[in-house]
Amino acid sequence: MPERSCQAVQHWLARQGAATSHGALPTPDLVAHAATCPACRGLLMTTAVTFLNASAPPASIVCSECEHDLDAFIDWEERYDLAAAAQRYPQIWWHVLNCGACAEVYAGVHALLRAEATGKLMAMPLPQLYPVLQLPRTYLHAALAPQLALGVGWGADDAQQIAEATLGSFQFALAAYPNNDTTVTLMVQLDPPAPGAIELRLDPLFVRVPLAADGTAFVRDVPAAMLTARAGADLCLDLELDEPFE
Amino acid sequence: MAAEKLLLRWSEVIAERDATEGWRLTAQQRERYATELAAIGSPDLALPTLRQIALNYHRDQRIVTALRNPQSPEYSVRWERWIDQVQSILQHQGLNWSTDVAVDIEDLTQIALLALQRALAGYAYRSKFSVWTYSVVVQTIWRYFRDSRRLRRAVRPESLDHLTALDPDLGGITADDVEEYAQTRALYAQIQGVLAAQPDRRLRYIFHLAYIEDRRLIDIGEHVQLPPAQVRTLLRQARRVLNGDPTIQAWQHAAGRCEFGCCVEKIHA
Repeated sequence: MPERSCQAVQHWLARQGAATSHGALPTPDLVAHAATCPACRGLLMTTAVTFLNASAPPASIVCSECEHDLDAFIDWEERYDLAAAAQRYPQIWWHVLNCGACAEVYAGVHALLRAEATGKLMAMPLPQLYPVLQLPRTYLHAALAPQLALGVGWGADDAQQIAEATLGSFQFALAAYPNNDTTVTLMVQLDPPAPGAIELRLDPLFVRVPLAADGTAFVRDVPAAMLTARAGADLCLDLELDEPFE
Repeated sequence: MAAEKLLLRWSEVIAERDATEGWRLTAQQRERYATELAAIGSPDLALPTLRQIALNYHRDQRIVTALRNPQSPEYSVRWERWIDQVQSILQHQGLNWSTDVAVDIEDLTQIALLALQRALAGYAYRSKFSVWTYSVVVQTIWRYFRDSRRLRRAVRPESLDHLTALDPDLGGITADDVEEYAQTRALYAQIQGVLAAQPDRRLRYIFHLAYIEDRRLIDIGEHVQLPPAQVRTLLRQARRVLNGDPTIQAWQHAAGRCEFGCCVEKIHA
């Protein structure tokens, strides 16, 4: 049943003292009523002045301006609370209190966020990043420097296995191939293959490489000196998967 | 000079966030973060907002970059995944149907996806990407329905006008503003909830076909493979259920009518 009466507006206003929960703005029905009711508008203005500790309600904006910042307003509200969002984006707060159309969008976005949080709406298809390996420089130095210095000992296929790791049901291997005296190609192998990418951090280097269909990714022309230096930040390898793994 | 100052400011914010959040960015990453965020602009924003943007950028830049770059091998794969996501959003919002037979969920999905694609260039990490996406989709579809009504195209709001025209006793429902539209949608959700709780699952579906899609009994019968007489019986049963439901009764008392015309018998009785 729609909340359309002045009483509903008054109830909502009375709750504002403790209104810090998500979606605490009035329903679109109530906003629509207040927009056409002089008494409720007066009450809202008084509340706005008190709520924002200002001398007057925020200046009016049009819907397109509200649309531009509505997501930032909601995000701020999600991160902190409604009061903080109203302080940071007073014009958006005031507009949503006075515009049925924008109040509808506001309510819709909140409904989706709640649905996502409770698993009623499938999660956004955002890539997931998983830390897989973190290797100190001292380890890299010990593993690679002697071979690079001698130019031998890279194994049957010229590859030097550096490290292996397990992530859920995935096996992860990192190996190095010398290109010449000064550069190395790093190879990552994911088994079984999965769509995604790897991110390699070896300060100051940062590389992101998509995984091929066979689960391999190559980071080419890495300076050998960077891998064999005794000091420096750790080598970090993260796996970016398109689907979260079990 | 201003650009350099902006870049410096972003570098400071990124370095601070990196240390606070433990991102362990490399120098190359920090430089890229600062350069890309400086390109977005926002020189006048307060520090808390800049920090929030930096957090959003760190979390969402992978997907945003992939969706923005048509040259990327991941581009089409990523967008394909969003088709299901957008459909899911529309369904959850109850914005997945239209009485215009020429407009279905696929069309609405395409409208929303196109809007997302266009708006993506302007996404400035001021909110989480998910919040921004929800906002764009909901705004786009609502705007589409409003614009359609203004253009007198036969989509859902016009169908409600049509229902009024079919039964003058319903009394001047114009569906001419968002408030009315919102209420109608809320009532529809209420009705669907009541009917969904019924053991006979056909009630909800047949009600939708009859009162929302405005289909004839004979067409509904063909659709659900029932004789028209049985469809009529089921509709009567649905109306009985609705008229006996306290929430629908409360709605009738408050609004003085049911916008879908399904509870007319009760009101007139």
